[in-house]
This record gives sequence, C-alpha cells and structure tokens, in this order.
Amino acid sequence: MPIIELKAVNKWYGDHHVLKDIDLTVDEGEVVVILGPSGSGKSTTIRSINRLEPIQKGEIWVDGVPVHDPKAPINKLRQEVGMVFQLFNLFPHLTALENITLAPIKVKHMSRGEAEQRARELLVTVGIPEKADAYPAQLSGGQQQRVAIARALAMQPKIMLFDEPTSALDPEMIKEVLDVMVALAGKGMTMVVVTHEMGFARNVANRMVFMDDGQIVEVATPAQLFSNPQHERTKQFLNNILKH
Amino acid sequence: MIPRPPTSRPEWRLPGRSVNWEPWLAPVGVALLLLMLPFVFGLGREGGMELANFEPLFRLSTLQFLAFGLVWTVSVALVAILVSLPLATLFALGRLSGRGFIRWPSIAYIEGIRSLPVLLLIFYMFFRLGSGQLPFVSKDALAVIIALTLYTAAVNAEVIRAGIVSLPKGQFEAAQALGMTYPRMMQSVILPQSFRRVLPTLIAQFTTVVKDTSLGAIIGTVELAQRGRIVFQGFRNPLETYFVVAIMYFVVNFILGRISLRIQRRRKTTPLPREVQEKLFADEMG
Ligand SMILES: Nc1ncnc2c1ncn2[C@@H]1O[C@H](COP(=O)(O)OP(=O)(O)O)[C@@H](O)[C@H]1O
Ligand SMILES: [Mg+2]
Repeated sequence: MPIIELKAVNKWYGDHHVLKDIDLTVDEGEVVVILGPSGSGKSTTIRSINRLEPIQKGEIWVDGVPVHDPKAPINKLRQEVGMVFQLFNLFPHLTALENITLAPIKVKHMSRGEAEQRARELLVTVGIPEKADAYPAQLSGGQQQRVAIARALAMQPKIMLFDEPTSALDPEMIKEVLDVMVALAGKGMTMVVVTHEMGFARNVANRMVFMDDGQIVEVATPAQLFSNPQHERTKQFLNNILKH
Repeated sequence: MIPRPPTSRPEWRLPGRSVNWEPWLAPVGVALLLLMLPFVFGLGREGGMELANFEPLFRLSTLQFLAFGLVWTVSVALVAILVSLPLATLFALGRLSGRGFIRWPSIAYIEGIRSLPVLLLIFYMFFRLGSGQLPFVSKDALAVIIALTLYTAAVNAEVIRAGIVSLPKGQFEAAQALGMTYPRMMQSVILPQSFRRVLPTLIAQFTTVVKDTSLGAIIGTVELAQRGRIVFQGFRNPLETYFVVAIMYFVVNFILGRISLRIQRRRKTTPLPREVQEKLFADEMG
C-alpha cells in the first residue's frame, strides 16, 4: 500500500522547470533514498511532500490526503510527516527539551507532563539524555541534529523526511546521526531520505531514486544501482561520489 | 545563504573570567559627562551656574514639585510604551500579510504616522478630544498618551518587521513542518526570537518616548520640563534647574537601558555550531 504517491508532479520557479513529471510511490515502512547532483531537484521533491514547496501541476497523495489540493487539511497532515533539515533549524530560544515538547503541547494539546516525559525518552533514544536543558547554541552539530530528529518524532509521525541530514556535519558526527536513522528504519518507520551517505543507503534503503535535471532518471534497489546502473548519467554520478 | 564563521572572540570576553565592565562603560561615561557639565557651562564664572543657585532646588517643596512632573512623565511614557507594543506587533504582521486588504492599510498607517511630527499628533489629539471631562486622566495627558502611542506603534512596527524578516527561513519551515498554524508559529517561534533581536532598538525608541513627553508642554501639561520652567522662574536659576531636570530624565532612561541589558543577557544566541559553520564555509569555498 503506497503511503506517498507523486503523480506527474511539475514545478517551475518562474521559467525554470525544476520538477519534470515526477512519479514516485513510497510504501508504508519503506526507506527510499534520493540521490543526484546538486540542483537536480531532490530538496524540492522531498519538500513538496509536506507542501513546504507547493507544486503547480500533478498530484501528491500522502496518507490519503491530496496535498496538491489547496483546501487539503495541510496542518493536520504535517503533524504526521516529520521533517529533518540540513541545518537542523532548532528553535534557538528554547532548550532541547522545549524544542521537543513545543509542538506536542501547542499543536497536539498534549499535557506538559506527558510531553516532557516522552521528550526525555526520545532524548534517550537519540543518545543525549543529559542535554535536555541545553540550548541549541550549546550543542554540537551532531547533537543538534539528533535533537531535531527527536523533535520530529515527538509528533509520532507516520512518515519521516530527511533532507541531507548529515551533509553539514563533520565525519565523526555523521555516524551518530546515521545510527539514529538506522535504528528508526529498523523500527519500521516510513522514510524518504536525501543523502549521499552510500553506506547508509546500501544498508537501509529498500529503493534508491536517482534524480538529474528535475527528472527521476532511475529507480532501483541499492544492490542493482551500485552494481549495475542502467543509465549513463547514473554511472557517471556514482563513479564521482564513490571515488571520494 | 551560507552563514560565515564568526570572527574569533577575545578570551577576556568569555563569561566567568572576571567582572565584565563593558555594560557599565556607557552609563558611567554619561554620568561623568553630566557631572562635568556645570564646569563646561562655567560653574562660578560670570553668566554660568553657581553653586548657591542649587540650594533652593534641594528644598523638599521644590523636589516634590519636580517629582510630580517626573511621575507624570514616567506614567504617560509607560502607558504609551505598553499600549504601543502590541499595536506595533499587529502592524508589523499586517505589513507582512499576504492579503492586500490587511497589508495596504498597515503600510498606509505606518508610513503616514511616521512621517508626521509628534507635536502635530499631540495638537490634533488635544483638539480632537474636545472639551468634555474625562475620568481618571486629564485631557492633555490623554492627548499626549494617544499621540505617543500611535507614533511609537508606527515606528516600532518597522523595527519588529525588520526583526521578523531577519530570521532564517528555516525557522518558519521548521515550525510549519511541525503542523503549526500561522498564529501559533508567530507566537511560539517567530516573535519571541524577533523581539530578542530588536530589543536594543525598541528600547532606544522607548527612551525617545520618555523624552517626547516634554512636548506635552505645548498643550499646557505640567510635565517635568515644564515644571522645571516654573521652578526657575521663581528662583531665577534656569541653568541649575534644567541641570537637575536633565539628571532626572537621564536616570529614567538609564533604568530603561539597564532593563534592556538584563533581558538581552538572558537571550540565547542563534549561531550554528562552530564546526558546522567552518565546514559550510569550506564547502562553499570549494
Ligand atoms: N526558491 C527558489 N527560487 C528559485 N529557484 C530555486 C529555488 N529553490 C530551488 N531553486 C532551483 O531549483 C532547482 C532544484 O533545486 P533543489 O531542489 O534545491 O535541488 P537539490 O536539492 O537537488 O540540490 C535548482 O536549480 C535551484 O536553483
Ligand atoms: Mg538540496
């Protein structure tokens, strides 16, 4: 059963055609990794799923909600779709704990006691229970990103979207964030991940999507894609990033 | 937009090292200047201030008379400041609204009121209020309060708007991605950060409110500066009287400044962790 369905999605910035007939389905519990060169439309695609970017043509269905329809109950849907950003985007005026409890309390109207208890559990899950009262500015990048993941998980989402969650991090911090993501995938979370971490993709992804120039060029399992890419552009791209 | 790594901070500014004198430098400097002023104005020289002329100012009756003016000034300023702040926030949000029928009136209000002299607003309100008796406040006080409130709301609307648009786009996106509605996002995420960013500018505008209460003299309020005038006409010591009045204004605004410092010190700074900034910086440089 697909929980996310993009049908012939098109988007323009002015004259610039950035998404060209994107078709993509993601099943419940599936982990889909999107990769491709910079500017190929990966962020725009993933951000269209919770309508951070509206689209101009095509349909996007997420958990039965027509996201492309301006009248769709988007705030309700966004509570079910967690998102993790490249630059974390933690709220700097709130502590780690407050970052995590804000939306459950204010959006879901959970009691403060319950929200805090769940937040502390989530901080244990992401490995930094001792940082509950730290402000974002007092945390390393890896710690910030793990708080950001906990913040998204606090809404008990059905889907998690990751847009290059480790590309702003130093190597030693990348692992601590990827470990959290691997564990999350292990628990059956539906995940769409834009990343160039090929180790993660190989171990966790059910399918990989290669994008170039606003189009989906190739969709394959990691094994297929790494050993036998079908398209010239895919080969070139993989050669480039695997060389490093 | 890639954030730049911050320039390295000198060690001695790190907290906990020693007493941080910096916040005190400005007020102490101004206080010293004020104390030197009598000499600049020729204390004891022909046509300058004279120590003897200070004596009547420190009589209980004179101080009481001036203190009433001070209380008037502080109360009027306080009401104007407190009422103008939510108004300013509404106009800032109005100007940022995507809906023309909200945006255009907001722009008209902000630009219109800001371009008028406060004096004109005070006059206008005074005559607009007519001749009826009001409960609690005198007509002239109310005219000054309304004029200063409207003016300060317009000026601070722009200050607050600047604070809002200065926030990284990611803050809005993170709030939206969590399912927050627009009012919820503004209340819990955007406005708290915006206020912290523009607090010094807001406080600067508030000190202007305190000073502008003296414009009430023109419609006959007996506020602080005007009371100074009455005092020196009795004692024939205008220089000494205004000197004391100046110190009273200074103390009020000094206290405002201290409040601002205290709030600022509580604010949490926004920057990305150093190693992330450096990495982004390096990436961008290729
Ligand atoms: N807000 C925007 N305005 C104009 N063009 C944009 C905007 N955001 C992205 N683009 C363009 O859309 C294309 C796809 O961008 P993006 O989805 O961010 O690519 P990727 O994430 O794969 O690097 C790029 O050419 C980019 O320049
Ligand atoms: Mg991107």
